[in-house]
Amino acid sequence: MKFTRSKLSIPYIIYMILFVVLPLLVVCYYAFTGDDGNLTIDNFRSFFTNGKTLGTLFYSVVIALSTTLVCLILAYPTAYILAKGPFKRADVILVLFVMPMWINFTLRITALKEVLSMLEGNLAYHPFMNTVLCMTYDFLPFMIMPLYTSLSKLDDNVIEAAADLGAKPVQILVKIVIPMSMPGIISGVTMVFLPAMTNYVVLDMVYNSTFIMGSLIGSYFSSYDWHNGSMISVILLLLIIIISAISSKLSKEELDKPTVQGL
Amino acid sequence: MPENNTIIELKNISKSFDRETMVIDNLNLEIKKGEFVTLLGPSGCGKTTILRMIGGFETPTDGQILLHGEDISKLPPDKRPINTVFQKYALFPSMNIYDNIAFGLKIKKLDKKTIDEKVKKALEIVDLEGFEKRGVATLSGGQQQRIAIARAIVNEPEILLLDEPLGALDYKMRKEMQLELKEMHRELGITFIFVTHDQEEALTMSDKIVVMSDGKIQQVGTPEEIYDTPSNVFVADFIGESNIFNGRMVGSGKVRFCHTDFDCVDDYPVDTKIEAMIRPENVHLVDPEKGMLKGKVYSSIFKGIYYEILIMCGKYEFTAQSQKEIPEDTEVGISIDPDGIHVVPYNIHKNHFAGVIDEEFNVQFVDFSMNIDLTKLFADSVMKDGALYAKNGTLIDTTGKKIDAYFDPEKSDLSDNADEGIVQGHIISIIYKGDHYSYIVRSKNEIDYYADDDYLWNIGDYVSVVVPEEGIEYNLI
Repeated sequence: MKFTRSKLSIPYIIYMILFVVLPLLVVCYYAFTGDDGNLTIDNFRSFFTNGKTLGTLFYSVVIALSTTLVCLILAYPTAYILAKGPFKRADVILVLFVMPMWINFTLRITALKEVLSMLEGNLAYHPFMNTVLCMTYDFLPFMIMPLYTSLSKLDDNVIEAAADLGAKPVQILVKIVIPMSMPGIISGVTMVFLPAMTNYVVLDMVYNSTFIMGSLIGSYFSSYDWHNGSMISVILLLLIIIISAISSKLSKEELDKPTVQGL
Repeated sequence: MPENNTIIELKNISKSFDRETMVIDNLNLEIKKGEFVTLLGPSGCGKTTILRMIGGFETPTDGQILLHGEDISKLPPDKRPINTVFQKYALFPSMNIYDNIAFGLKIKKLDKKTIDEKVKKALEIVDLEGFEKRGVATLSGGQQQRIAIARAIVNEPEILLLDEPLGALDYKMRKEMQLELKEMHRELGITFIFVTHDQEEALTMSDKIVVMSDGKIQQVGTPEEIYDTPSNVFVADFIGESNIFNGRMVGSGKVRFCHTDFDCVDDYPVDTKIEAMIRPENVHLVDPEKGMLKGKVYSSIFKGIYYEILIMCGKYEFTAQSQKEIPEDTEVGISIDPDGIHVVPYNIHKNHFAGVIDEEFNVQFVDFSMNIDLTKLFADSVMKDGALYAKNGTLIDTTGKKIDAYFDPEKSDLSDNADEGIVQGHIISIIYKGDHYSYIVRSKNEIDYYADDDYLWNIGDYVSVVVPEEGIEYNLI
């Protein structure tokens, strides 16, 4: 048998089939069958007619949007100062920001939880705020990194040119810096928004008893309702695909913009 | 009182970035309205820093920048009627050409119709009509550069700053743009301040050239002045090629170098030490018996429009140009017309440095200390029991007395053995003098020492300046 480079992909293909494709097919099978084993779209229909599941979807989106927004507001100035500030070793400071990720995530949340309960007395008073805070703490590095990368690539002369042409700092930020760092913003938002939609461990840990999509699936599965649980997984998967498609289209447009307009 | 036609004046400008090294050192410059001025110098000479200070991107550490007599050195860029064309164009990639050029006008809140007209006119000036809707990335380097120029001139600045704008273009494109820029300058009638390290570019385009080196102005003049009468050997060496020799005046309009007397047009007192500079095109090759000097060709290289001929006359090397090839080992005579020789006095401030005598009778200089024979400094004094006495027996208190020391560059050599010489430093300048190289070595305390050596070192080499003890002269001051 002749060895070709493509044969190197065999282990990967086997892995993908066993652990990604087959489970997905199983999930889809359960999602579109009822207890009697017949094909049905009842599960799909019941998700969108059930107030409880729709509410969970809405709450998930709100949590994820808030987390993403807070992350962006905190990360943008941080990344800007790191990339353009007078630091000789900005990369070292950047590592300091990323370093919390080296500690186990539940440990980090536990620590933050202790701080919050010290400040608030009882965590149960502000479940939404605590959830967003903990998620922000968790996901902030994912927002800083792509922003830092795209901002440090930004040529200082371009900023100077804008100032030279009469732009005030705010105008430079709005008209030049933000548009030019759009690819970083898009990938940062994607990297925070998607996990924030589904991360129910944080909610659990800060005693937020409201369900988000992840916890909803968990609750169906723990009551052995495989069919409805799977359907929610499928819906979540569809959402993720849609969001990824939009964001990759946006960042592609951002990259291609000059060329597209040139045609 | 500045004259009416002076648009911008730099007064005693200094700039240091970390409070240690002076990038610009007490610089004065006056630029007239409508001039095309080029700041020319090797990289790191501070020319871009000056431009950035005029543009408002840097603030001078010291001194004033006067625009129409008013100090603008602290104003931000948007408050100055000055626009800049950056080296790497710095166009806004997220906008199309129209929006790039209209950027400044939109900020000034002009109405749409006026903006449209101005953008159209700016595009006409840079010869890119109809490019409004194109994207930045679809343009070639030369086109992007034109857009950058259009974006700057559309704001009708009083002064346009250009920071090596042609540096990234290929040779042919650069030639074309040089002429076009000159044409634009004539058309617009505004002041252009142009920065380049390309001497040919500077000579082609400028009304006035400011030659810079090491944060200081070496010479200001028209291209002809700079080329024909360089004020020092650095300028002569940097602008075009030059044969440079050490010599001295031997009479009125008579100068001696390479063991030969020449007539020249410059006049200095007899016995003044001078440096003579002769452009290769002024070195005429004649029959051996008709020449002022006799030599032998040892290299002949085809350069396109002429042959570059290297001739050895004894131990001196001459560079000449010839329309026809001259084979190696041909005996030739060298003849130089009086107006082909440019003479400048040898800088007498070279290698003078001050020191102080300490309690141990050593002289402390900035870079080194030295034990010297004090009896030579104080007339008729004697050294006795570790103290210095005058002739009449009174003790001379030498501590704290100041000394001026000097050594002739000719008496010094360079060595890569740090312990061998009196002082160590990096070579910052090399000039070929026909039979040896003239170096400037800068010590870590930023003091420059001039030294001659027969061997070729490189810029930046860390060397030690070797001066024999008898080569150093001392005087009390």
